[in-house]
Amino acid sequence: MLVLTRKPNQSIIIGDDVEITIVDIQGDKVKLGVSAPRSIPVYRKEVYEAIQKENIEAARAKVTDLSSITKLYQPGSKKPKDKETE
Amino acid sequence: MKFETLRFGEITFEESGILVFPKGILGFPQSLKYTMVEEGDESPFFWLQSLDEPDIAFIIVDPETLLTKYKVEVDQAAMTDIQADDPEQIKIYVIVTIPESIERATMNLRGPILLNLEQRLGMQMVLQDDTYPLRYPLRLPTEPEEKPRVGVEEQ
Repeated sequence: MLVLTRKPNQSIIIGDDVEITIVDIQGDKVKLGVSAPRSIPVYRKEVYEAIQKENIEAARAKVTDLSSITKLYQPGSKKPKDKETE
Repeated sequence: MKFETLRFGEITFEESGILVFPKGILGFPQSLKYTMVEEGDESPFFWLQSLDEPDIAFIIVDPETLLTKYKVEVDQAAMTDIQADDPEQIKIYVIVTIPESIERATMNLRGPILLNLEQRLGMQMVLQDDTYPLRYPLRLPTEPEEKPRVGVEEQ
């Protein structure tokens, strides 16, 4: 991992397209600005990791018989005729 | 075409049934190809079976069959990944997690699976905020007509 020290308002550029700016530092919080093309997704790491972990949990299911949940969704009742709008 | 799977034994599918996930699904970068396996005629559930790894399969469901208020704003990165020009071309599914007992099954509303069925492409989108939960109970209705609704928090 490349470790750099930056002061507020300083930036780093990654490749040609991504720029990270230190917008503000207050106590133990650093506010970062990220400039990247819209085709590049940017995530908070813990959100990314939470999804990853949930996927791994989901893939663990060895159950192949879903009939107990399926039978509760009878074809006639799958969707109410009028979707509620609010 | 045939593929030997862990849960279903050998499955048969058409080449047109292959879905390519250019970036795979989070946590499973080794699997880029999947196919959908039906649970049954009457069921809103499907299996997303990996065609690269026999033991990787996810239960997915069309959230519209179970929820009325789940709205995903598809971002540009996602559209690019699955070569969609228009959000209308995208079909959304959510992954179901079943822990020890099937009654505790939940849907991941924060990491929906987006499919461009025309191009046979797919990806998993990570929603940035916590409007929707990682684990929303399937909340099996007491009457078949009931449909659980996801509330969107008014800010």
